[in-house]
Amino acid sequence: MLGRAQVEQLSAVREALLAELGGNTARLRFINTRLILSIGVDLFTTTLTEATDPNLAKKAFETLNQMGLLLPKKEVRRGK
Amino acid sequence: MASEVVCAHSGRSDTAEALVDLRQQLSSIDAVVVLFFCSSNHDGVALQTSLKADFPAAEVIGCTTGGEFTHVAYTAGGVVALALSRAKVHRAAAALAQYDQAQSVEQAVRDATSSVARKLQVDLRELAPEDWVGVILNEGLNGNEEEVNAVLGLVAPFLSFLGGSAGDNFKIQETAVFYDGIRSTNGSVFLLMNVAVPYAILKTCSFEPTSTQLRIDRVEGRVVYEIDGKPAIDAYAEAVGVKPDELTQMVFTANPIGLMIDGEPWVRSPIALTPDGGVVFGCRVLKGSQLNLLRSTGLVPDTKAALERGSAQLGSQPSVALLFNCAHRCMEIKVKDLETEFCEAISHFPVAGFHSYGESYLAHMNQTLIALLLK
Repeated sequence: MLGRAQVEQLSAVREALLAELGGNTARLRFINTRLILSIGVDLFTTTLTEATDPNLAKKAFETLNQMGLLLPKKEVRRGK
Repeated sequence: MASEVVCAHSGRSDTAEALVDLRQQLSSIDAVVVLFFCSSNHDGVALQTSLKADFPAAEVIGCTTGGEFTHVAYTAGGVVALALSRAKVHRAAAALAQYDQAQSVEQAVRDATSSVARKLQVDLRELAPEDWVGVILNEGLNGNEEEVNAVLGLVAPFLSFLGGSAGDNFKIQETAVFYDGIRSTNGSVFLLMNVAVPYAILKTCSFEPTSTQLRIDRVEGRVVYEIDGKPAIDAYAEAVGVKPDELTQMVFTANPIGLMIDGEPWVRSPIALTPDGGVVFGCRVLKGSQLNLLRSTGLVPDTKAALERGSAQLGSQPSVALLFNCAHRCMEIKVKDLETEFCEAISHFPVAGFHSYGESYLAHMNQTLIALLLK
């Protein structure tokens, strides 16, 4: 996958997550820091290239699912 | 009048004698939580069970250290205890994960955190992070901290758990955590607190990024084998500006690398070389990540500034702070003869803490001071 396409995918994940978090950007940043530290994925990145791991967006989505976030239907869980 | 917080200390090496000291200092508090940090020469189980007997309604957790301190004491060989009353913590629960007895680290952490949630009758994902904060004490020599923190992120993604890895007075033989009368040399204790007052978390490392960047190309566990397409030892030595055979512990300590997030370095410290050309780090470095070589700023002024930032964040001087200070920083304090200055820097309000074999906050890291400040 081209880097630019994956940046767009990560951006879409970020926007979906922000929406699920009710627009709470502090909480979005907190979760993003967790992702950077645990799986090396930054939802705010703009610098991916063709050489970048093509599975970053998939990894991010899967990890967020394991956190109970961005789950399909109404299984969504979020902190108050 | 009952105390709201007590930071107790004993420099005695005999556990029974140390307990006499601690009990005297703790007599004025009705504790909800007691954390103790002791030399590896102490009988930690005796400390845990005795303190639990004194405070049957409290959660009592502890670990061994690379040295322990309060705002008025700085020792290696003693014990410190931090006790918090209901004025600071509404309620709390703790649990022990033992990695040598479970199917996996992940399962052990999941079981322990489920136990904490059951005791408190809460759903960890639903708790307001403004009202809840966790402490984690990890055993310090088996290298499980990354996975422990990652699993915590999955089971309680919005909550902060901060802490440190137990030490053993720099013997590098065996470290331990204590809970419920159990001594675990391969486990973690988790404590979750429903705080009654605002809190702040500090992370400071006394390093700043240089413009030299390193791309991590091949990693196995905590060993990096390839950086920027070159053998890791050669690439790291070149970045630092020394020959590979000049890479000593002093060079490592002065030249860690950092993962930069929002302008702040998350420190990864080289600690050794392997015969097959790898550089061993004190915590895992992810393949494909881009890190900056770091340079030292000033441990004491940075510590002071960080604690001042914490006070500013709380809007007033904290009533107490829990500090996890890296053992590498302890060595730097010793080598540079900074003990008096460091002690002065942490003397402005009650603190209790220890020198740790790695620090935890969202992830495992090195050469860092992590602090929990309570208003």
